[in-house]
Amino acid sequence: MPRRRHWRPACSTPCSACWSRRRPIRTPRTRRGAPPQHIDYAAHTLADLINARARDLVWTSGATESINLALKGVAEFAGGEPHIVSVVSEHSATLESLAWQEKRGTRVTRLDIDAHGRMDLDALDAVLADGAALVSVMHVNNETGVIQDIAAIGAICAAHGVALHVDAAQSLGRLPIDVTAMNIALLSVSAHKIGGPKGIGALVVRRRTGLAAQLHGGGQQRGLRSGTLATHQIAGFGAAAAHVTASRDAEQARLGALRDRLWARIARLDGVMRNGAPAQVAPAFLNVSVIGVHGEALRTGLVEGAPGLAVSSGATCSAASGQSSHVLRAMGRTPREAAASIRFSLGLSTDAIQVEQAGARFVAEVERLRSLASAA
Amino acid sequence: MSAPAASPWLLRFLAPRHALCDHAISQWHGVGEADTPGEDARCGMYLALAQNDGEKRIVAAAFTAFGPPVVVACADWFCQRLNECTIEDARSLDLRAAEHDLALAPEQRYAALLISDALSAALDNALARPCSNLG
Repeated sequence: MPRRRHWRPACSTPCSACWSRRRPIRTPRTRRGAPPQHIDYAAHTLADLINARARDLVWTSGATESINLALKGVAEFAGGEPHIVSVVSEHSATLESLAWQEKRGTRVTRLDIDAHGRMDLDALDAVLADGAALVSVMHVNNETGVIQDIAAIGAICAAHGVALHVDAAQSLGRLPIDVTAMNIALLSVSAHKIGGPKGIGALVVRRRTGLAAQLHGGGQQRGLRSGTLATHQIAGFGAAAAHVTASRDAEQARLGALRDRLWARIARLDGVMRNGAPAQVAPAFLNVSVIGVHGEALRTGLVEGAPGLAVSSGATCSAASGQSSHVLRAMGRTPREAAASIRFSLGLSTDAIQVEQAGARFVAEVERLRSLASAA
Repeated sequence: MSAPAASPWLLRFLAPRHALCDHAISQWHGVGEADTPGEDARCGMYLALAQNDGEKRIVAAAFTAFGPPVVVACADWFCQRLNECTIEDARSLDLRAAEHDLALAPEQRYAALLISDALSAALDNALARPCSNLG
């Protein structure tokens, strides 16, 4: 079977060369002869990337666990019938956790998004007038790449005295994050989105944030997440964080240029719509809806045809359910348009030649499927 | 390690040989359509007939299809099987043969029914036309 070009770095990235080739990870030694302090080094590297304190990190198994710990931990700490405010376009890790909590007495408000995928800040301000235990917002949407204005959201939350949780799984290493300046109380991140290993993530829990543990045991990590730390995973996360710290701005500029080139190639087709306003979409993302083709046929044709493109609808984590994207429908796309959507996410290995090939392949497949459907 | 063999329906979806857009024929004697809204699928069947020994035979069949890949695959399979069939033969095409040949999963069987409905409509349409139109 021919190798497919990888167009899904937003799902998971190949491990960075900086740590995956059996090279020793260079970390500082605290004293002569002592073992490398991998965990401390990783914590400081990651914390520097987001302007947090290393001691505020809680290592988890990934962003899904971090999000669950944040949402459930704050609600439990608040007690009573806590109110959590979120957005309809969140990742399933947030939506499913909130649905689970709703059945147990948590009041959940899900704010709408506009046609460009952005939440209404006035609506957030209004709903927080009733008080809330937590606001939870995704920084960069995993399907569309739309960026929420976290600084403005953080300012509103701070004005109301409400803690803000940010799902930064897609923005870490892609956009600047400053938990202090952005008034972020809790931040969920994942290693494998930035070239680190799968199975490791972190939740930043800033000072004076009330959080009840959801895993109990030996009391590790200030009692917030018991269990022996996976040193090798954390070291890999730290190495990946160091890598993106050094390369982020240049790499994102490169990916943005390639993304625009891909769109220019695809936009020659009639009936192709770009999802998300370009100025508000992270550089590595391009999400398009196509008129006149069936979504499943388009994805199958692109993935299984030759040369194969490993693209997805973007709703990768819920693709098995067979439902069209809840994010795109919330942005006003029809169910058929939402179903016939493709997300290209660009990564470290993407180059100009691949972009040209992918654009040509996409155009050819859309034209093939439209011809099959046409009686004219 | 060898790669797993692709499903028969996938191979047909990727390279159908009986799509209307690939046919040179411009005049069809029977045209029928059907849809399955629940799967957002629709199909058109196009039949060219000839009169031989007083019997109408299908000499060419083509399809249009919008829907999941199995719809394209099933339409292509039916069109291949229809060649040289009489009207009666065409009406008695076995859906289970399509399901077997294409290795359809239970949840994909609607596609064979959809094409069968479109074929029935095309055959009715063909029968309703005068024989003088046939070659």
